[in-house]
Amino acid sequence: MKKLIKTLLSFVLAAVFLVSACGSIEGPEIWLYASVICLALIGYTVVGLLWDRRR
Amino acid sequence: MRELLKSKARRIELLMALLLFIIEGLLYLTFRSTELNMFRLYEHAGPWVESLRSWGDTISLPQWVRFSLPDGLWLLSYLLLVDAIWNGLNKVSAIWYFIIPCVAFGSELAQLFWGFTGTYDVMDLVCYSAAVLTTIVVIALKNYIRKYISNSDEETD
Repeated sequence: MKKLIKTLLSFVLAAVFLVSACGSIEGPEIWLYASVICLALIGYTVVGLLWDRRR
Repeated sequence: MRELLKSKARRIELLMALLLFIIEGLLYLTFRSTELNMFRLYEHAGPWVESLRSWGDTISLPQWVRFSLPDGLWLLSYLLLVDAIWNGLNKVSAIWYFIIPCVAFGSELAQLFWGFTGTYDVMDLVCYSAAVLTTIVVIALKNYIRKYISNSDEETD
């Protein structure tokens, strides 16, 4: 499997598990924390992939 | 032979992970409070959730099976899926191996020290640790088998 596909699959997986974790907690504020982590992961994924392309 | 083992091990890992995720979900649906966010989604799922919950009322399980085991299964399921994708820990894959365990342990510690939403339970930490240990054992076993097969491949050559 190529690194790009693995990275994208891993991102989707982490996002799905974060959402499922939010489902197992009471209250709406947890979605805020999960969104911040998801945004950080999107940033990491995009920057990592662009960095790889440049090299 | 090595490729066959690789794909077979990956398939077994995927199957195990999906099975664990389903069991974890069913434990949540059957035994946990309906105040959880997930029940907003299941409001429209039909009567099967209700029948599952009323069946759950008839059986008695230890507290840790109801409240902590699902968390451990959730983490183990994630780690097995990541391992099926990356097939081993390295510099690139490390972030994906560590992110969700960090969230899991971090949220539990945040519940203890900063009153983060949820209930702190030491058994949650035990189950998370068991999930991490199980993953380490699975990775070590895969590496051992891979080495053994490559040695026997060399001998037959």
